[in-house]
Amino acid sequence: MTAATPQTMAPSVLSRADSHKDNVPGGIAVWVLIYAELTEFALFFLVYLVTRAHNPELFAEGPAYLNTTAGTLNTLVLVTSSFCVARSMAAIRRNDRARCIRWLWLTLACAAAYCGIKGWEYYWNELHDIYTRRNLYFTLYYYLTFNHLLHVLVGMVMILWLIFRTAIGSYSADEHEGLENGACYWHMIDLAWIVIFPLVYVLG
Amino acid sequence: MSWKLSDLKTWLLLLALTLSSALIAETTRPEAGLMLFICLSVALKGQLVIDNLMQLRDSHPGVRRPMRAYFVVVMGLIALAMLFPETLARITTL
Repeated sequence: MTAATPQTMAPSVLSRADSHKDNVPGGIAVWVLIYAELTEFALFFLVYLVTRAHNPELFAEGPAYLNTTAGTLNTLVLVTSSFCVARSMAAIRRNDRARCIRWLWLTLACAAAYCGIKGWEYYWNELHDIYTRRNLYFTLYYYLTFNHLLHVLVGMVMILWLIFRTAIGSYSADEHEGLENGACYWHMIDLAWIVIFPLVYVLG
Repeated sequence: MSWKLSDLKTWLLLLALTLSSALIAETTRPEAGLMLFICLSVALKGQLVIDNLMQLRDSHPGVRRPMRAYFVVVMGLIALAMLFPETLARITTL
């Protein structure tokens, strides 16, 4: 039996293998970062679950005190920001820099809206006597949501940088790995919130 | 499992799933069945973002599989912890 070599392999097999290899969005460094960040969030979730198991009453009544409207609005704007980033990637693949930049500005607008809503939510909490040391549930609520807010702020700086780089022509249909790195990181921020929202605001 | 949807359809589906979870949060205290529904809808939202917005659906399995597995494992653990808190309290300490 002859061993399969690139010369003897069917073209479809080769093209599938090539497309797998080429289709990884972004570079290896950003994926290491994304897995590290997701692992960090997973550890927070485990801490939350174990603390909840030892304090069932606190965690059962906790969500009723929170501003669910703010949590829902934040989820909607983050999901929308992910959509905007995906459209900016589609635009750069068509070499349409102007549209790519427009979608990135919309992403930034969604991120700013997220920060505004989060600020309103924390202010609302102050008015309703909700603070970090009130009990373990609220300590973890603040820890998870503030940590996520910091990730959003870092992501906003990154999106601004990507807008600048796109505007000066650093990215094109053929070369846009930097933009892909940023897009993947932004999707990771959205993915983390997709878990935080139901865990803290809905399930408690 | 993989869902091939346009960005727009993915976005609309994500909005619908988010609003359904919010509706549950506003109207009732979720019992076991609703908890499972919420965990499944979060896992589905994760897969939608990973497959369609991140565009990992046809990418290298070394990148795609851990991302997909993350949502299955994390939401599975959350569901178990929500359904059996006494067991979790028994096997852990604070």
